[in-house]
Amino acid sequence: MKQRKKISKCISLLLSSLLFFSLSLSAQEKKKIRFKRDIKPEKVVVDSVARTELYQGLFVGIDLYGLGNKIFGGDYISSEVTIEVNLKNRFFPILEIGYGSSNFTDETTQISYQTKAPFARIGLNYNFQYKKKNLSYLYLGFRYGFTSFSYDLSSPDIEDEIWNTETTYAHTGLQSNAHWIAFVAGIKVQVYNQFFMGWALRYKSLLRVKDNIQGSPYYIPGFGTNNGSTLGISYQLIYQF
Amino acid sequence: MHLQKKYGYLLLPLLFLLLTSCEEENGSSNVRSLVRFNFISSTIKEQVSLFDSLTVTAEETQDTLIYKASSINHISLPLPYEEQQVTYMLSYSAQVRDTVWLTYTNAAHFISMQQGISMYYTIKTVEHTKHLIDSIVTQNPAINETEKENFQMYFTTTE
Repeated sequence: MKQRKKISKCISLLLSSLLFFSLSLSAQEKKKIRFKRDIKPEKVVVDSVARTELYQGLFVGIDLYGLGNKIFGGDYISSEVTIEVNLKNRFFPILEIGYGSSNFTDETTQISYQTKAPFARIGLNYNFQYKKKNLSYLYLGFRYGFTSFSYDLSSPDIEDEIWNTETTYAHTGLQSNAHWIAFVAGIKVQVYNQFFMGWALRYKSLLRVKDNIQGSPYYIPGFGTNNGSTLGISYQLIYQF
Repeated sequence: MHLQKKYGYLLLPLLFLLLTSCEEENGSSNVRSLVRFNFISSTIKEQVSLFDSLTVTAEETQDTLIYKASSINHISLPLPYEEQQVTYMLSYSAQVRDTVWLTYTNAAHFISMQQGISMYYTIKTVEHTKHLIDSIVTQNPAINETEKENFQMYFTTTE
């Protein structure tokens, strides 16, 4: 039953991906048969004087991937706001503040996990396209993230088949905190006027997580599933001030 | 950057989403932590295979934990979840047997969503009779789902 659900989810994702790409392709094909004089040149913003100045602007964005994660079968939902300063179009100090929550029950073991807490990350991006005149960014960066949170863990009674006993397992308000670093690679492109869209791949590695004898946290707000290291992604809608 | 190229790049994360959502999950039930005794010869001080026959039972259960094992150099035994003590009976033959008493503290521990809950133990005391057992030396009092040597059980042997 669980596997069938997974397969149908995969098929629906595959179909939606194909739909997106076929729409993109058909749009390109239509463009091929247009006369050159009908094509309006793309609006390119060039401000060579401003690009030499230290302060180049401010980006404020929201992450759409964390919000949509639950819809695509993820164990958590996360929302965050990013504030990024453009320095010389090359260096981008960034602050990411968010709120992550998980309310998950495993279908096989029936173990439940709940948590919700704020998190913060600070870091820097380096734009490799700083010489380009168009408004697109290709960057590498790093982050340091931290969060302090409490979590609940519960399970069906644990059966001792040898001594024929049952042990209850339910813990609430277990305190924890976590620190991690992440390496980021991403792109950001202008889609309309001051609006940009972008995505970034993140390789995250835990520096420290506070464990409890009752069990380690399953999900860490802002980091994700509590593995030593993990890959993540963010998909952002950004406004430039 | 051309528009179609730009939008193509923006769609790339869908591939990531597709790959991560198709990950296989392997479910299993709770994992049982076992206490491990390695058999050591008191003469040569090395781990050795002993006994033509060994049966291990415990108090307050009808189950036989190990039934007529032979040529084994260690035993791994379960502990009760609800008690803080256990008594094992090691029967080498109908007439010869040793008894081992353990006291411990325990706590149920969440390992992972797939592996479930496992009981963790910390051994406080160990006592035994001395028919064939010479001594028991504690190597690691912490018992969890990762099996390792917890005790060295020395047997009186001759060369």
